[in-house]
Amino acid sequence: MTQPMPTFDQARTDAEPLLSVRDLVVEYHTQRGLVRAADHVSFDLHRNEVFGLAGESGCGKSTVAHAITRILKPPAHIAGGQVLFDEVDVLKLNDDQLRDIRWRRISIVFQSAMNALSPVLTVGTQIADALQAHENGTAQMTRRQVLDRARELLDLVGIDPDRVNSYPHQLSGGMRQRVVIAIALALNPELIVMDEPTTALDVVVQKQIMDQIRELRNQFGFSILFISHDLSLMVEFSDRVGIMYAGELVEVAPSQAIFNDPQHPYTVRLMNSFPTLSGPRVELFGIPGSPPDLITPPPGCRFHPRCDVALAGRCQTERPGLQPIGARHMAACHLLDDKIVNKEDAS
Amino acid sequence: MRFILRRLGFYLIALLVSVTLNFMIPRLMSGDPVQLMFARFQGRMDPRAIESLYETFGFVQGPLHEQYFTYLSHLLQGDLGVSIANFPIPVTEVIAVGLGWTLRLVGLATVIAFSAGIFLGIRAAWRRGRFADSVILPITGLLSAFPYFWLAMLVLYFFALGLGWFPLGHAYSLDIHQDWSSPEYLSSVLHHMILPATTIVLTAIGGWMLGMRNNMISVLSEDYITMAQAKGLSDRRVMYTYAARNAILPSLTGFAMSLGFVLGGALLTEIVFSYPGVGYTLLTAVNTRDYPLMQGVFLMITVAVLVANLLADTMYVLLDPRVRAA
Amino acid sequence: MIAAKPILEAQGLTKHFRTGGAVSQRVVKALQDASFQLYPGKVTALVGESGSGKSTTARLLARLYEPTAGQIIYAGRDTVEDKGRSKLLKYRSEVQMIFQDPFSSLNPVHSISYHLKRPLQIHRKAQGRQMTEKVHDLLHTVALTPPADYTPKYPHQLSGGQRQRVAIARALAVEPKVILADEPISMLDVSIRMGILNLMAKLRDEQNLAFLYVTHDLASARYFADETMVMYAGHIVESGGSEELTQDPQHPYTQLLLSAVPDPARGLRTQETEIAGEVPSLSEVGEGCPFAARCPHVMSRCREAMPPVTRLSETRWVRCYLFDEA
Repeated sequence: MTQPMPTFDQARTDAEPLLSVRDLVVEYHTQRGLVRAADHVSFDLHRNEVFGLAGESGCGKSTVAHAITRILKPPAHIAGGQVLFDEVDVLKLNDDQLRDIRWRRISIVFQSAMNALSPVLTVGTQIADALQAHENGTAQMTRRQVLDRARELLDLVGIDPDRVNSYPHQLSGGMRQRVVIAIALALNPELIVMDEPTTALDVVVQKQIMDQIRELRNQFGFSILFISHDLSLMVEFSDRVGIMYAGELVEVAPSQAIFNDPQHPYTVRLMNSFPTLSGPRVELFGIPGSPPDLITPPPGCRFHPRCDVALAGRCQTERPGLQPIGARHMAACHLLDDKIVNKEDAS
Repeated sequence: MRFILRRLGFYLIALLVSVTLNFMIPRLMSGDPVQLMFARFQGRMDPRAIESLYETFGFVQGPLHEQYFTYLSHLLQGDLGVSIANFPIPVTEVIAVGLGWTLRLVGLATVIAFSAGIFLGIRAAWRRGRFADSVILPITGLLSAFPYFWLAMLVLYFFALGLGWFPLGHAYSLDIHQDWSSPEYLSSVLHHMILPATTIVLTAIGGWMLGMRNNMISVLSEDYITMAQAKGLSDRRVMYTYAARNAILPSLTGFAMSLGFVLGGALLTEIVFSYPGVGYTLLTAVNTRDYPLMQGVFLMITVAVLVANLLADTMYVLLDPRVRAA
Repeated sequence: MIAAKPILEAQGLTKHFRTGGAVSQRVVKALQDASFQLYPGKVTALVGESGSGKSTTARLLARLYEPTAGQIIYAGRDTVEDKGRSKLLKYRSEVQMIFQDPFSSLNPVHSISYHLKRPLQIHRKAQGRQMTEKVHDLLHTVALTPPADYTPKYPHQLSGGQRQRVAIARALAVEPKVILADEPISMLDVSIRMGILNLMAKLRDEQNLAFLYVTHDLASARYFADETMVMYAGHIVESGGSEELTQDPQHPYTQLLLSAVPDPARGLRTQETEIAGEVPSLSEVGEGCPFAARCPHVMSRCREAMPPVTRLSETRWVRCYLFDEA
């Protein structure tokens, strides 16, 4: 069933978006049936912007990130849609073309660097790999140059350059994550996809890493697609946030708007699930029930069984599409029909 | 480093214990073991052999601890005594001959089986469900399940007896003079080696292949492999430097240990192909009740296995940096 | 209001772990000199990063380890005499633990009904027909209704939040007085967490239970706990009412912790001072205050010895030389 084509965010009308995801569908077969891990997900990411993709476990945010960078593991496969990176559909590239943009233009920071680094190779080797895999023809770097660049990168992320000969297990968790970030920066990409980069780290180390990333962004001006389940972190760090639920994008807005003025009932309830350190102590309730089974999702709006303001009838039969409901603010909910603005009005 | 020294210490103690056991066991039997052997030979033993037997077993005059030290000092000097059946040739010389052939045949075959098995295992894991995985793997598995001597005899029957492509036994043609510099001799040796080596490889390759394939599969599911691919590295680099380098660790230590057993000779191979290796030597020694020779071979096998274990431990430290920290 | 007497008290609790083989020994000083009280009808939070010693504290109170030094006083009695099965059993029936991982704290091969019946059987709380009734009551208490829907199910058929509720029900089965909750919500989805915390708050109020709430999340400690203690590298460095402590932290580490937590309500953050260093390894902690290496207010005496407890008010204390008058 096709959804009405969402009107795209015209935030920076001067430039085309760097990344444009359109109707992305990711599926995989299980013994019990077909799972739609991502269902017609569409959003734009602009140059020099941090776009956060938030949601709970199983919502599909990691799936979307993996699909965009084409590192989905079987049995998951892309069943439809486009991922336009600088106007080129990444999903249609062959292996060679893919290798070309991989790391040079889009790189990835994985969750829990513990496992993202091979334990038997030095940190320097793993940085050098990224550098050497992409030299074709023009100015081959000598070993010396590669090593120097590796040391430079370590320095950039706040690690003593002499650690270039260390093995991953000799570094602390925070340092390992910095190494992974250094590798991601190696070829000066335009977009870095960060999949839960600080989830496995303590809160103080997390702050150090996020500050470091901010600094590097100021220096190099890359965009970030930031995946996390930690909404507080997300809102603090991102320019715009997209909330996912059960494989669908249900709300997209600038981060302060998501925090101060959430529109979708799921987002509203979600924001009500985080205890805060400042402000008054209010009673929080969370959301009753659990996320739906993606093999047989509820008909109509996927959130309606847990929604306290669902409309009898429409919410149970008709799936809402992502519509613009304000300046740079989109949501997928029937109750917001009266707020829908036309593309021309939202400037 | 400290890890290796600790292991070395452990192995030295193990060696000492086995050597001591070796010393004690004849003494635990009631009566004089030398006389017993003499009786076995029905008196047809060279009297000088009896003397040297006493020497070898350390049955010299004096208290037990003196005998022990004599025994140990003999061992340290490399004096394993004199072979009874081949009197007066010393045991070390007899073993040396067999050892040479065993190392050449079994050593080479094991190395080939390991290398080929690892290589095929890598490919089978990388392309799961394709040719290497779904055709070669089951075949090698099947081959390794065959009783070895049966396969060896079949091979011998068809290719040597039936087709006449290969000789029926021995390490070289007996009518060619033993001279390593002669190409004629060399080609004869190679010709004789092919069938036995092939049977060893065929039955051993399955184990290595399966082990490596399984290790590879679990390594391939690790995040750092995905990361390496995402970096845009070539398939080859990911497969070898990232995946295989990690997956091979357990197999390497297994390999080091199997090298230890190489020195025991591939007994069945040597019997079927009448190959004059250590296994064949040991068999003859048992049949002729040549105790010094038997003891010598056992001691050599013990040392070889311990050395191989130490080698495996060392290799692990060299290859896996995580162990070095311990 | 604070009840007059604490139900469970730790005095000078210390735990050192020895690691390393025969050659090299290392001591991990997981917990040093911890003293605090748990009161009925109150939640006390133990907050710290990884390696702070908070889980070790919970496990010591649950008597899963024996302390290296210090006392655990339960209902006025020093538990060090409680050895032997029946005494330990009595303790366990009154002090129960809930674990972090809802996926591994339940045995996957047993049904929910089995999980809840076992503690009833072991501690002889019910028999025969009463058993099923009690199980249903427990499931009602944790809001898993209708109970008959849940009793035949297996853990893998339940969601994370439901499993954690079963774990709570299991702990409640023996009618404990104290519950030690070790990071009970960190592995649950965000929208589920509040439900569990609210359930525990309800139990605190209705059954007058004492809670120890171990967490790394200061915000949830502020929400759920009455008192909060902050730990760093094996020491409790600050303690006080949750609201007071989080709004007006005194110890430099607590201040650091608070500034690091992302809080969008605080508005746009400007670039703040660099936070240097990381939590020290527990096997390399020296004599002085463990935070000295990173503290912006460090003085020379901080490195010499651990500061003593300074009471700031009836409900607050810190261990920091900034407040030490001496």
